[in-house]
Amino acid sequence: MRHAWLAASLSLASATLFAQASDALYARFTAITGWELRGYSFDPGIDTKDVSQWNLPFVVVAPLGRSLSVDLTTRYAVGQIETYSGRSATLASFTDTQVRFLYTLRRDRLVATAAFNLPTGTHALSTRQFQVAAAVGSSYLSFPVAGYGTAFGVTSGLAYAARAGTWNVGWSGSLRYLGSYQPFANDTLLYRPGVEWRLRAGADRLIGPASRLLLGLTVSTFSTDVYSGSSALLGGWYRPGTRYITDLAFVRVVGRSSVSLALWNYYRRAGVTDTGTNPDTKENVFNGEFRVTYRVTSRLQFEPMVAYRQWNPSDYCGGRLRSGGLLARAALTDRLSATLGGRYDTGWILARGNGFATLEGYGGSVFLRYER
Amino acid sequence: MRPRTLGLLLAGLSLACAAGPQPAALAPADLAALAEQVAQHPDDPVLSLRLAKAYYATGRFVGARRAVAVAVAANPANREAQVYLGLSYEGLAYYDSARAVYNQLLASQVDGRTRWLLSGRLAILTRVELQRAAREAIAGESLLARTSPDPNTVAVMPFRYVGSDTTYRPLERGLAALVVTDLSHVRRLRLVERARVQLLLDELKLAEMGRVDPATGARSGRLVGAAEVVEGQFATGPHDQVRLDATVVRAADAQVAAAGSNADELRALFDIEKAVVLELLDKLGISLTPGERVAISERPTRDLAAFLLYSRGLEAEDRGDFAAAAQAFQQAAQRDPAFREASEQAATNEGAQTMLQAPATDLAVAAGGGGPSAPIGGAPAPGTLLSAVNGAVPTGASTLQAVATTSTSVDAVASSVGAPTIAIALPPAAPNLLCEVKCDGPAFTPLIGTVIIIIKRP
Repeated sequence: MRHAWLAASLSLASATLFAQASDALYARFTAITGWELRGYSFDPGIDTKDVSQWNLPFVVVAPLGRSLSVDLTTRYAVGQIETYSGRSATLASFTDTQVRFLYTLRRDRLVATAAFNLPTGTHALSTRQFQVAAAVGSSYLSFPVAGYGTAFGVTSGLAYAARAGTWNVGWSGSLRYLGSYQPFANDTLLYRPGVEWRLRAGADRLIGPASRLLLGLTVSTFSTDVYSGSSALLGGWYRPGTRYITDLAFVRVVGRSSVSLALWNYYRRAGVTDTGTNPDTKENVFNGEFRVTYRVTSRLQFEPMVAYRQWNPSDYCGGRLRSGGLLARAALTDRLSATLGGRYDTGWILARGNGFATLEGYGGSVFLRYER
Repeated sequence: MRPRTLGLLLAGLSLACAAGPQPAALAPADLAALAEQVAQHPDDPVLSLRLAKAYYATGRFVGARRAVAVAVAANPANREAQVYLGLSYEGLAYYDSARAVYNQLLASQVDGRTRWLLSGRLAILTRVELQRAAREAIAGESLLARTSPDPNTVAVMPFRYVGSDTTYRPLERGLAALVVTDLSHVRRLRLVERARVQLLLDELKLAEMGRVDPATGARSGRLVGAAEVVEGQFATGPHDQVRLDATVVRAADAQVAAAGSNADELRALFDIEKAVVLELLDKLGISLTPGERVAISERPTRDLAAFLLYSRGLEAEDRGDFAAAAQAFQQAAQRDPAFREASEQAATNEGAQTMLQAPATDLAVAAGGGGPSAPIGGAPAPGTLLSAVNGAVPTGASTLQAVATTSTSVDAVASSVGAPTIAIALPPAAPNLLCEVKCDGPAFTPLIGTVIIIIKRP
């Protein structure tokens, strides 16, 4: 109910203000919804048999006056896990709602952001539900909804872009505060996440008239998370390792098509607990993706892709995934478009001390996008 | 459809395509919002150029020209804006103005690629202009008959090949080009471009369904504004013999004013042609200065095979097949690297072919030295800022906007309007906080991951 009210309010506000001239980052009202499924099946090498999740996203993007725009996202997600030992669990809930305001201080150059995390999701989980939350939180498997709920949070940010010769460069930074919450339904444990800093530098340029190169580096670092207040568990603290995400993309237009190669690498340093550094928390995920976008008509395009992913937890290779998929985008009307996608993954996972399993992944999605 | 007709249509089509929606077209609402922005900041060159591009993409050339004029006035050295000015002129069929803009750009310090594309664009523009001029001349022929042409203006018709070996047929155009070049060294004469004459002949044939007119030379001369017309024929015979005959016909009354001929072995073709030209000039009573005589005696190449390839290039160029023309000119230049005309024509036709295949706005991209990412005035591309924003404060909206976008990576590369974002799925921006330590997926789910490891049990 709260979601519906919020979305309706934003829609109304945007409808009123949309016609005004705007320097806002988002100049158009956009609404996106759909259905998204992702799942993996494992062979009996590990206890987990299937993990899947589907979600219904609700996204509204709108300009609010001349310099301000806003986007709102929430989802209803259902995650399921089934094990070879016969246990199963389901976690079905709305997720937290993210509302982000973007204020243009200088058109094309400087934008300030204020994002709020509204705790509309489920944060207090049972032990069984936690199994689902843990499974979908995997960096390796990358489910669309990695977390269901936390606490009220605020993130402030500033982004700046400029020309540097033939390059466009952008810098941005943000600071996130997230309130305390109780992660378990059957325990009074209080979790107080530390403040997160995030810095991003990106650059892009044309290479010739038909190619574009994009580079990016994102670093996020954290202060200390504190756990306290449990009658059953001892408190403690944990300082997550700094994350580094480097990304590179190259896109080239070839006639009516384009080909793109996108690579990213996610590296997380080992975190530190009150008993010392935990080397198992170090991980690296490398992902490479090659796509061809073929425009069949002005209203329809196909986008086949192949991808490769490698996961290195701690100091060993913990999994490899090879994926293939197809996306179709269709403009149904001038305002309404649809995106239909499917993918298949095959690979394996090795969790030291927990076994090795081959896996098959699948995914499907349909999104509807309305623009005005 | 005859190849020549097809060529002309293609050339025309290329300009029509230039007028079409090349950059990603803005939605009407965005266009209206942008126009409103420009109305509020009428002197803002960045906004004006953005609006000009959007107007150009939607075929609104009047608006595009008006908007881009603000950008050019603010910074006359902005080459991207200049190109859009030229493209807008083309869209409005103001070809002279477009040509002037492109020539001005060529005269400035542009890089090699821009120069190459500009040459190609001008080549296409020239074809369309000449074609239009030919049609207008034919349509207004009755008026032209009462107008006296400049007495020193000379047009050269393609030489007719009357032999049986079709290998030599391309020399019809090659020899005409050679004669035009030689006569252009005579200071008192003004030569009509060979392409103008050829396009007129093509139009005449179109208009008359291929009917042969005995006075075609004189008539063609009048139509291109020439007082005198050089026409002729050549034939190859046994033992590699070649004979060249030429006449100068007065356009006013179709009377022959001079005639010349020469014959020799094929390998002496250039000598034959020079001898005929000198004979014609002599019979016309034109005294040459020593400098003019030396200039006429110069040969573009010593390699007859290279010249034959060059002639094939002209033939392809005349039918609008820039790719084949470029290939033939290249082969000619490869055979004789000193054959300057061949290498120049190869570059021009390559540029024309590129401009035919690629969006006209590629020229703006090249001229701007960064195109989409270099709108004007040092402002970065809108997508760069959006990427920075999403990198620092990612939300589900930013992810889904990228996935369910209606724009594509094609637009993202080729467009400078809108806010291009390339849909790259980065790792989850908001990881599961409780899984910071040991939630590495299903392999660990038998444990209650995080809590067991972070928080020691009593």
